[in-house]
Amino acid sequence: MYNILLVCQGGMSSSFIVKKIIEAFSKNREEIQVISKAAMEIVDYIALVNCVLVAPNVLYAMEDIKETCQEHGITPTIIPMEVYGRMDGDAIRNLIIHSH
Amino acid sequence: MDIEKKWYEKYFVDPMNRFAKFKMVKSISGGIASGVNILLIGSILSIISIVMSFIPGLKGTAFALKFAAMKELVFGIVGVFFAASIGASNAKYNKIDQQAVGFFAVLVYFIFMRPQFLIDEKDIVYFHAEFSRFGSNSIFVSILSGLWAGEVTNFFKKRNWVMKSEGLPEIVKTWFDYLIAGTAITLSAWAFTDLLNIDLHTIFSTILVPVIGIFSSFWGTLILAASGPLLFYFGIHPLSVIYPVFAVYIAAAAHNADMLARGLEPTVANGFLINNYGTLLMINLGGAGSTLGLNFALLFSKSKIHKNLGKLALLPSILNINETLIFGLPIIFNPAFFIPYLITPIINQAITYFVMFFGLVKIPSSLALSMHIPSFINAYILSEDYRAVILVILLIFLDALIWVPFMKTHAKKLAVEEYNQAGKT
Repeated sequence: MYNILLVCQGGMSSSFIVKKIIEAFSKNREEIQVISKAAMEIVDYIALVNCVLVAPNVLYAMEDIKETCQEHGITPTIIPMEVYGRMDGDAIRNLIIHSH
Repeated sequence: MDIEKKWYEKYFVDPMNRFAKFKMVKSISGGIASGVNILLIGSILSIISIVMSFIPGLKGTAFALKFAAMKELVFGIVGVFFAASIGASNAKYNKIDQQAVGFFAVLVYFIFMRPQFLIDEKDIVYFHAEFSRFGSNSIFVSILSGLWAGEVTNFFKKRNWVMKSEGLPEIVKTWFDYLIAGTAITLSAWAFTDLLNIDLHTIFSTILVPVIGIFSSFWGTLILAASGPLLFYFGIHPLSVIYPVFAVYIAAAAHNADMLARGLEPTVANGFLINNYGTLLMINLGGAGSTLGLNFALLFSKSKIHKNLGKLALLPSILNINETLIFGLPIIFNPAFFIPYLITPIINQAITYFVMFFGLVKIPSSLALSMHIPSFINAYILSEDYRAVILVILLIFLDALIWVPFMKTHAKKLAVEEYNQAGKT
């Protein structure tokens, strides 16, 4: 099962995306767990997940994020701008499935 | 392909991103962002006290006075929380124990407070310090305490100068590990402020007066108003670089709140600062760049794409989160929207300044500083003036009008693209 950590600047905008991701998965009768946090909180939550999604508003912190993720054997996936902006749950689902 | 960097990338985007990556900047940003959560409690208390003020016969009663004193207390001690949260946030980036560093930061904060111990005739000891030293006007002391605790601990941890404590239970081990660092932090902070006799509160408040003056001036704040959208347009999240600047505006808000508590009317003549963090939040209409007006305009656009996005983004927008519009429309890197995105907050800022300058709306003088409360509610919480709500609604309407022509042009472009694509398939 995918256990996802979605990070953005403050954990606010990503919390709106979480619902959309869960909807997209449950439409396909798949189980998923998603939590949204601020990018700086990755260290606190990465041990609990197996997949990290990154919002396009924290790309400046990408080096840090990659480093922290790699310590846990995870490659973070960046959500493309337009997918994030349109809160496209299905596109994010594809992204998750194809990159893992 | 053109791999040469554009001028704005070289001279604006890259330096800003480098700035945002500084550990100090990240620690301060993260620390203030989580520290302001404590002010959210204050916001709720403010709402309760506003509701209470409408209940006849309650004003001036013992209950009302006790409640006001409690509210004062909650707002008055946030400096301690800022110290702890900035310390913890610094620890996070250094990958060391957050709780230990948070505790050390509080220790340092109290040492820098320089309290006196007074003993009365019954031998009862009293802790004596200016109450303002606990509060958010001391935010720069909080920042320094947090960084002091974090960086000294990191220095010891990275050199492995720790107590070796194998065999002990995990929780005891953590404390043993940090014992040397904690002692060093305590002694160094004490030596700095007590032995060298350096009072940081006095120094910072002296330095801050002109700094707050510059930042909260008409032009200073206009530059800030422009920088939010400018940063976001070029793909840099404003909150990643602006928080250290916000600290100055938080201190300005504390200055206002302090004077209001002394019973002064919030006017320019009484020395209240128009451009404090409260005012910035009040006109942060829908997020950085004030896009709430745009969101409402989108709902009435002829373009279906616009309309759908408007519906999708409405709830986040009302809570002052605009990533959906920034990335979805998109506004970011989109020349069609550069002008309205840049000028809207500047116009809002300028109008608000003059409206408050001429005393038409009370100057926000509250520490109930929350970013994600809908602006028309936040306006009342921050200023306790219903005219502020009217101002905010008028500004949202004006913003929508500014956006409409640009939105229409964009809608036409979208229609042409759609037509062309339909033709291809």
